[in-house]
Amino acid sequence: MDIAAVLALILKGVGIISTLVTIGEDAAPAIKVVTNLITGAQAGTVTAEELAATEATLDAMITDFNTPIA
Amino acid sequence: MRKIILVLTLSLSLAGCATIKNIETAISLGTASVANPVTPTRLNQMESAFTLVFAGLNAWKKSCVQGLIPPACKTQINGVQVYTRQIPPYLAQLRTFVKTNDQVNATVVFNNLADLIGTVKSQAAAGGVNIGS
Repeated sequence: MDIAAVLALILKGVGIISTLVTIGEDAAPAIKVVTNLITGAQAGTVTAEELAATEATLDAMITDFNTPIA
Repeated sequence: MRKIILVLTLSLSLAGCATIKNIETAISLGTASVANPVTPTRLNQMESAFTLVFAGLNAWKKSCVQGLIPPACKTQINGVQVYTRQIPPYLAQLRTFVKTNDQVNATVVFNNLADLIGTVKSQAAAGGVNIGS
């Protein structure tokens, strides 16, 4: 595991959570991502369940963004 | 081992929406190769990074829909969507290749996705959303 990359990602994730909260956006997906990253970093690897959770979150966010804009 | 660090920084600098301009995320994906394979942990990191990028993109889109930023944002977002709509098929392929440990194809798709995000970065930058540093 590239700990430096994970730490950088967690740091940026915390930053984006803060901003999302400030502008009144749903920060839950980003919080889930950061939580999974921390859990994975502690374990040294990612479990199939964690990976599935990350994939589900990302899929939902991509679908949301790709929906035609009104 | 040749390693190229791809740093993507998402920073929104949208006129008329001061609070949203501080969104920023950076991801280091590297370049996949035989010596630097796409493991499930690495896949998880990439997907986590993408999730943070899309959190920013969705905030941009929502601000646009709510009319908080200039209406030109709709055209800009449409332009970015041309590329973000290409991501799901690549992701599906990458997940399959990683789970079956097909590193040859996983490497190709991983690097294609990194390139695609680079294009998304360029398109978003044209709309005032800078992804990259």
